[in-house]
Parts: sequence; C-alpha cells; structure tokens
Amino acid sequence: MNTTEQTKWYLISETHLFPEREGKRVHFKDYDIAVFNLGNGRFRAIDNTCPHKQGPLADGIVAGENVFCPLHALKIDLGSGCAVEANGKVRSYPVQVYNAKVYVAFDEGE
Amino acid sequence: MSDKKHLVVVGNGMAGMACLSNILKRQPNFVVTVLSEEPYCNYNRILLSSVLSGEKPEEDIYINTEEWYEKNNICLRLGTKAVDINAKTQNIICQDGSLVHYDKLLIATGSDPFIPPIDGVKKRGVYTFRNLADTRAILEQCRAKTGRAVVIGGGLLGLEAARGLLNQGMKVSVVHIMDRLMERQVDEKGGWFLKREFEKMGIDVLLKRSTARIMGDKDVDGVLFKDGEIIGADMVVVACGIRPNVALGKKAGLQVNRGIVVNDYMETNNPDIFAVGECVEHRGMVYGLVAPLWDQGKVLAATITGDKGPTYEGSVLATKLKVMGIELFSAGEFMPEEPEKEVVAYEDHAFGIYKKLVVKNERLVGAILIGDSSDANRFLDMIRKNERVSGDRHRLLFETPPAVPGSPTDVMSKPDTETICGCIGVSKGQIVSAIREDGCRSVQDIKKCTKASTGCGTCTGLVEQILRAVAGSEVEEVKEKVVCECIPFPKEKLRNIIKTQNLKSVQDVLEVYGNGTGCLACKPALGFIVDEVWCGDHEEQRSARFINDRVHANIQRDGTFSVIPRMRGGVTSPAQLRKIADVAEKYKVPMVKVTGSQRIDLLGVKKEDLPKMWADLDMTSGYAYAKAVRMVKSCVGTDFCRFGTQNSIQTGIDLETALEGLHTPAKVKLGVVGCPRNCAEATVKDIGLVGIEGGWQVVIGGAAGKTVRAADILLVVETKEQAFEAAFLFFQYYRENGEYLERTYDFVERLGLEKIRQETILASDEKKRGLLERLKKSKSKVVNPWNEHKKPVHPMQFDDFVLPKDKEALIGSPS
Ligand code: FES
Repeated sequence: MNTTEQTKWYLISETHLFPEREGKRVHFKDYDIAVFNLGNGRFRAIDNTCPHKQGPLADGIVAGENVFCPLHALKIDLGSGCAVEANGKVRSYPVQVYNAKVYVAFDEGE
Repeated sequence: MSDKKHLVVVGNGMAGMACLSNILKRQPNFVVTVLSEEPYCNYNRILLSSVLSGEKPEEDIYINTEEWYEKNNICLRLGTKAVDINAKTQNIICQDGSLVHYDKLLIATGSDPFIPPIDGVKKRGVYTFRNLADTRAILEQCRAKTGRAVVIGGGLLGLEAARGLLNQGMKVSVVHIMDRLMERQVDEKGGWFLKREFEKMGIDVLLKRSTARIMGDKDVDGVLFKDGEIIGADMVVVACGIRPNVALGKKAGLQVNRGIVVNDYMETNNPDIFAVGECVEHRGMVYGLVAPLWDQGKVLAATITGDKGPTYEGSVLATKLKVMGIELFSAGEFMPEEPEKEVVAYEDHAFGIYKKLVVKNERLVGAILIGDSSDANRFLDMIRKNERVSGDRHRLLFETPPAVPGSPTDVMSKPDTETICGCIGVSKGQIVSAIREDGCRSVQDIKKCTKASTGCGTCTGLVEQILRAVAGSEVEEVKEKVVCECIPFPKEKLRNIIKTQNLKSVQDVLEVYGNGTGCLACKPALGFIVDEVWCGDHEEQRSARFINDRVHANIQRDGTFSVIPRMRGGVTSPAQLRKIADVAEKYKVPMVKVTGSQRIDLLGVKKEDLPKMWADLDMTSGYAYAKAVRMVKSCVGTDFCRFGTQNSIQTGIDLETALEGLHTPAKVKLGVVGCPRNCAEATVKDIGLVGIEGGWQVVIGGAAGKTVRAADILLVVETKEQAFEAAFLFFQYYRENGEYLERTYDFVERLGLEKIRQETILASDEKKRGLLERLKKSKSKVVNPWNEHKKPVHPMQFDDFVLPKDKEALIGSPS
C-alpha cells in the first residue's frame, strides 16, 4: 500500500468512537470495510466481507494483529488482509491517525 | 487333542474364572469348558452395588469378554445350568438335557441368596440382590416408578442396596432383625455410628424388627412386622445373607457340611473334583469375600495341574463397605470377650469417626474403622502377619510420623508384602515388579498387568503413588489440560492466579500471564473466568467477547441477528404476545419462530435495530446467544394437568428467576416437570427437577443435542426449597470447575457423579455455604443486558459508520 502526495484520505471519525480491540464497519459508496482499533493508537482497515462465506469481519474477535471471523473463525491478518494458515485474502486499506482522527485511503486498497 | 484332558468348570463367577486364569497361566494339558448359568460373560459381582447406585454402567463391571474365552480356547456355554453330576461316569447333566463328560471338574457355584421363610416373598416387587438380572430388575422398577423401598437385612449387601436405591430416587428403609447394623462386622458402638451415618443420608434404619409378612395383592404394598407394626412399600429387597450353593456337590457325593469340604490343597474327597470360592468350606470356614477366593484359586491351580504343593491356610476375614459417603472397614475378631484381649479405641462424634483395635497377646487380632479407613491395609497386614505390636498403643492407632497424604514416600516406606489392593489381593511388591519387570508406565498398564485397582477402585491413588515413586519421570503423564496455548495454565491454577494477583480483566490476565494477545479460544474463556472468579465484580471487556455477547443477540449466517426475549418457565400472556407481534411487524422481522425451548425467536434483525426493538419490547434478554443459563422449560403440572404431582409451572418460573443472567462454562438448559411422565424433558436437561409423589428428584448432566444422555439423579428431596438448594450447589460447582465450553454432560462424566455429590450435596456445611454465597453474590451483579439500549457501553456499540457519498477527501497526507 503505497501512499503518495496524491493519495485521497477520507476522514472516518474520531478515534474514541472506535472501541479498543474491536472492529467497526464503515460504509462509503460501494465500499464496505472494517476498521479495527488495535490499541495504542494502531488502526487497521480491511474489506468487511470474509472470503469464506461473507461473514462480517468487523464483528470478529481481535487478537493482536489478527481478527477471527465471527461465523466460522477464519483467522485473518489485519495488516495484509491474508488468511492465516488458510487460503483467502481480503483487500486491506491504508489507515492514518492524526489529531485523534482516523483516515482511510479507500482508492489505495490492495 | 485326544491326549488332552477335559476340564469342566461349573460356574462363571469371580471365583471360577480367577481360578481358571491361574490354571491357564500354568499352560495345562486341558481342554476347558465353562458352564455358566447366567447368560453373561464373567463380571465383578462386588460392583453390582455400583451399578445399582448408578456410579458405574453395566459395561464397566465385566472382567472377561467373549474374546478372552475365545483367545484361551475356552468353550463358554452361557445360560447352561448344571443340574446333576454322575461321579461314577464322570458326566454332568445340564438343564437343557445335554451331557458333558469331564476328566476334571471344578465346582465354583458360589452361593445363593438366603430367603427367610416369610409369607409373600413371591409377590411382584420383591427382589433378591445377588446377580445382574436382579440388579436390572430393581433398576427397571425404580425407573418406571419411584416410591418406597424396604430392604430386609442390615448387613453389607443390604446396606449397599439401600444406598443404591436412594440414588435411584427411592425413599428407603432398612429393616434389620438384630440390635445393630452389620453385627458381624461391627460392635455396638460401631453400629451406633453406622446407623447415624445412614440416617444422615435419609435412610430409615429400623432395628430389632422381625418381618412377619410381605403384604399386598399381587404387587407388594407393605411389610408387616411380628409386633404388628406395618410400613408401606412399593418394593422389597431381601438381603438376608447368602448360603453356599452346594447342591451339585451333594449330588456328586462329595463331603458337604455348610460348604463343600476341601483340604489345604483345595481337594475334595473325590480326586477328580475340585471346588473353589463361596461354595467351599475350609477348616470349618465359609468365605463370602473376594480375597480368600483369590488365594484359594492359586493353590487349586497348582494342585489340579499336577504341581501339588502350595497350601491354603485360611484367610483373615476383612470387609469393606462400599457405600458412597460412608467408610467402613472391619477385620478379624473385634469382640473382646476374652480377658486377655485389650482394646485401643478412638471416637470423634463430630466427624463420625470410630476406630477400634483389638490386641491379644501383643498381637493385633481385629480392627473396626468407621469414617476413616485410610489405615485399613496397614491393620489388615498386621493382623495377617500376626506380628508383635509395639508397646505404645497410641502409635498403633496413629502411625508416627503421620503420613502426609499424597507424598510418595508414605506408601514406599511400607513393606513389599503390604496389600495395596484389598479386593484382588495385590501387594506393593507385585505392583513394583509390574513397573520394574513388566514395564508398566501408567496406572492403566498396572491395572491390566496385575488387576490391582480393578475391584472397588479405592486403591487407585496408592497405585499411582507407587508408580510415581518407582518410575519417576518415565510415568506417562496424562497431560494436564491448559486453558489455551496463549495462556498455558490449567483452569484451576489460573483461577488461583486471578484471585491472588488481583487481576480483574481479560487483558490484564493475558498481559501478565499470557502472550498478551490471546485468541478466539481463550479470550471468551477468560471473559467467563474473570467474571466467575470475581462473582461479577470484574472489569468487563467487551472486546474479549464473541459478537453475540457484545450486542446480546445471536449472529446468523447472513450477519443479521436473532432476538429471543425471556419467557420464564415458557409462560407468556396475551399482552406480551401482542407486543412481540407489534415489534415483529414494525421492524419487518422476516421470520418468527417458536423455539424448542418454549420461547419465541425473532430472526433476521439488523444490528442497528436491536436497541430499538428492546426498548419497544421492554422485556428481559433470554440469553439465547450466550454461554449462560438459557431457560427453564416446564410442563403444566398440578395447576392444570390431570397427572401432575407437583406445581411445575411456578417452580419453573422461580428457578429461572433465580438463575437467569448468570454465565456458565457452556450453555445451561433447565427443565421442571410435575411428574415422571417428563413432558418438558427435564431428564435430558443440564439440570432438571422431576416432581414425584411427595418430593422432587434433582437430575443433572442430561443432554438431547448432538449427544443424547439421560440425566443422573443427584438426589431426591421432599421440598422445592431443598431441590433448589441441590440444584444451586451443582450449578455453582459446575461454574467453578467446568472447563470452558464443557457441557454438564461431559462435566458429570469427567468428574463422576460420586465426586460431584461429595463436593456439593454431601460437602461440609462450610463448603456448601461458600458455593451458595458466591452464587448469590454473582446473581446480585446481574443486570438485564438489554438495558443497554438506554445506556450503551460504547457510543458505537450497535452502529456502523456511514460516510456520505459526496464526502470530501484530503489530498496528500492528513498530517
Ligand atoms: S464466513 Fe468467515 S469464516 Fe466462514
């Protein structure tokens, strides 16, 4: 995920509205993504839809850098969007926190 | 084949087969036939009482399977009763008309129950308690209909039967003709202690009663005593002792007194006929116990295979009562009738402990232990060896230094000859050699190799101690189950850590004792454990919870949720139904379904609608999404039902009210039924109350899901309050000791009903109070989670972020 001078960053919301070590679903245009607050100011964003059977990843349990899908427990690495010890991948998006606000670069997702 | 001799064993019981095993070990020149009157393989008769009490399933008491007979080339003829013997032609005549020729005959016909000449013993509902068929018949009646059971006979067998019947939900009385229970094993004072223990359990003990008649039409309905007193009975179990079964011996022309007379080589007066076990008389003694038949079998095996030499010189009489909750051991002579006998005794009324030793000529000759039989084997050895005892009588009673229970040295300091397994008669030396020579590395191995601990099982702990001391680090460890790799402690240890380190949240526990992150498996488990340990006084972290417990609804395959309001006892009202209907329409709920738990399920609800629906419903969460108390299902009961014997509706409502909102290791479903017809299926619930005439059965560990398991009866009580207390004790005990996600049916099987009883309903008052207080405290912290519609735990608890389509972007970096 390369961001440049030209990257479009969208303000999602203030950091305190993201509960710690949980995911929150964000809708924007055709995007349906999940933004995770890992604690200590670290945030991650991936597509909300599980590659297995479309489970809502924002509702999963967060453990360190991973989330477990709430439907059948697929484990996904929040940085890369790749399933851990399994096949499958979701898009991940660049996230930035600045001045207690969370920004996502939707167009740069990969 | 032709040069082999035909050995026929009549009787397929413990004595016959133990002896036959010993014969086979000597690789004899025999073809063997076993005639078994009972239609089953050889089983452990002393464990019948455990089958009756429900502690062991029938399958567990078989000693030898059909494969064993096959493997050893034994022709096993089940259901074949030998009725006559012609000693001249060496033929056995069977009931089915067949003739069996023998070269050598082994009679092991055991004994028959003695049935005193009482009027009415043939009525339906009167049983003896001697074999598997008896046990099955008794159990069948208990299951069909509980009621009053009268056990005639206050000896070992009668008392074991009484305890079993109590477990099966019967109201039990024991009637005994003598002035104390087990008069041949205990003295007057011991009898007093014993009676008190049984009465504490709720068993009536009626002494000095001579039964005149068993009353009733076809079915028994009472027992009349000679003094005119009558007690009601739906079942009578006659346990008045046993008589050696010597009929065949007589027909074969053997010398018979009380039993078939044998000499020290276990020979009868016919060189081709031998006898072993309860049917024999040796030096004037007839034994009804297991250890002697084991010893006899070894000697007989030598004699019959042509190695005549070893002799049997009699056994010390020793008895252990196998009744859960009562320890009793008695050995040797205990009545100090002769002036040279002296007594050393100890009594503790509060703990129900009584110990008495009888010393004669500086030698221990008898012992009675009630309430604490941990020294039983030590005393038994002293009696057997007839050694001089030290002058210090106090030391005799309490070994110095006192043994630290569980410390490996304590059993290792004992001599090799000391008996470890009293049932089978296995010494410490034999176990040590099984480990050293035969390479046993687990208790299981030792059991297989030596048969130690396969009888009543009380010596398992000692066997394990020996194993650890001898095999040390080579012992095959049964791996201790840890909560998770992220936090590698067994649950019990972790609970202690949480308490002593004052850790109040999942994240604290993970950071201090785990890998800091946890995983799907351990986060919810820890969430439960901190809640349970602190009785609700913990720091709740929703991030450790499954989504269901973050939004108090059950996630569905499409990411929507289902909403199930609480309907206590499955009772609702028109107003409530109307409200539910309105809500379903207002939020366009796609599916409304009546659940199997007597509730209504609104399926397909969007997350953001949840709080609004809860506000409109104004009902309590049914917790249908949680590892928690789900519901109490009830039947109609005395309020309306023609058959009801108890008020199951109100009881169901009260029970649900008492426990709702509490989290558990895995979901807990309860049921209350007003009669044993079981319409609300209480006997397949985690906890069930079954109404019976004049009381309640409290049942636990039932299941009707992926696993189907009939619940076990925890106990039977008279009042609803007593039933609740028992249910609460079990409930809290399970909360504290169940592994996370372990349902009660696995929990009950893992721990065993007996242990659970000891730790709950039979625990000390202090322990019980502790359990109930922790339950009460946890309950006081429960709030209806659906109140979070008014006050969410987080502003975004139920909502997503939605950005407007025309949301402007920042180009470059926000910083
Ligand atoms: S839908 Fe995510 S694991 Fe199945």
